[in-house]
Amino acid sequence: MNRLRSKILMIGAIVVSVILGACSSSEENSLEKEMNQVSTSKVKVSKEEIDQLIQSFPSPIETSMIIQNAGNKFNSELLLPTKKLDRFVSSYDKAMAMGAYGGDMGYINIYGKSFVAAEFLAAIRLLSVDLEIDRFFDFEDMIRMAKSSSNIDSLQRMSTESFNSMEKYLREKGRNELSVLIVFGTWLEGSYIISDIAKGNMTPEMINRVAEQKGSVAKITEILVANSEDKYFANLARQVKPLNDLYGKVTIETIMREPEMKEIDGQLVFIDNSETKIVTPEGIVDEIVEETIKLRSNLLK
Amino acid sequence: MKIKTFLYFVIIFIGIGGLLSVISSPMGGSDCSGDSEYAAGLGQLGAYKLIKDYRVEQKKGAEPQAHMISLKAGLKYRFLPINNPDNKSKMIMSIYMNKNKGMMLATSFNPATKKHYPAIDFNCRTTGTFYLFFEMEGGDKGCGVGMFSVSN
Repeated sequence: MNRLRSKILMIGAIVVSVILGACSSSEENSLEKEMNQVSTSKVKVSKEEIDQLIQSFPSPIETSMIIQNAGNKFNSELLLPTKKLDRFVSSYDKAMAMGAYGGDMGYINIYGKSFVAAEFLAAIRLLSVDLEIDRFFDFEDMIRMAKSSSNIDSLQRMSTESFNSMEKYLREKGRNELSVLIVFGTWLEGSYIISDIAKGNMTPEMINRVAEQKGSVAKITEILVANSEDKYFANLARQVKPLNDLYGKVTIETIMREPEMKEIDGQLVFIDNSETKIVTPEGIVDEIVEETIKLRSNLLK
Repeated sequence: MKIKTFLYFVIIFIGIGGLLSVISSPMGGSDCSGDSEYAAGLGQLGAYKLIKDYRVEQKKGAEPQAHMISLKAGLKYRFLPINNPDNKSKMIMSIYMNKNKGMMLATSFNPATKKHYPAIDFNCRTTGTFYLFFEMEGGDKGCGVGMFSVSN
């Protein structure tokens, strides 16, 4: 009888241990459950492919810095309108739009125009709630920072951290299709801003900045085509194809040279000595610019 | 008596669970989350803007962790390797042209002098995709955070 009691107590102890262990990750499990319930997409993008794609795209901060370095002033008219968000109907539309607004946030933050940021954060908030990924953003704090224009650096860092955490979570939970579309939206918005600026200011610097998008267009095309059994991705692949074809006419040659290493005030500095030669047949960059503006208009505006 | 026995079993099972998690951790149970290293790294960025952070957990003899990164001509990049205080060997952060470590562009460790640097600054002149590697000196185990940041 005593042995039976001991066994019952032992089973009870195991149950309690399991419950205690489960409690520590209950939030994560509930998130996982939620994500699994909605994960019914036909899209099959391998983890390695998606990791490579996402990591090989420039961040909106870099894109905005090169625009600023080329001497361009901030132009709020280039930003994606935040009104009528109901034009983004499906979760795929919303993911792409969220990426685009994230790209705009990079542009706003680098130029220190935080007073514009609040309405973009509000748009991102609505989209992220619909996509059930709003938990990665502290919107209250971010909107407060934007409205007070008090700490643009903190706002920029919080935006970056939030998008990084969200993107990592989506990939880990197998929502690669949303991750791809967010990255695509961010890239398309940045590429559009570069193109629109270049349209009115075809300097050698802006021509190169348009031309060097070639690698990104090739990578996004590859992923879209590989997943074209999903109708949405097939349609995107069709729409991106003319742009990819135009970029096929651009030649980029990189001559790699050993970098120079210097120690300056205890800081190790490497100076890149490599060189890039970009060859663009006459008129091609103009066509690329027009095609990029058209693509953004078709997919996001 | 019943409660005592019950608690006894609970303690044993929690103890076994804890021991298993310690054994499986590269740092033998110390905090490998990287949160405190990340906070320390933010303070070292200066005028650089954070692009991404990498949480590194290396087991002894493991292959270096590799990540693709995009760099833009005309921008300055800063890479920070921040070590877990319990590391016996320091973390090395290096940038290569390709996955097979074809041409090294920058590193936080000079093997000739055995000197580790707290940061790498890289002035980029070529837009492209490169590879960022993380490893511990001598292939040792350890944890840390790598930070990838940019300035114009």
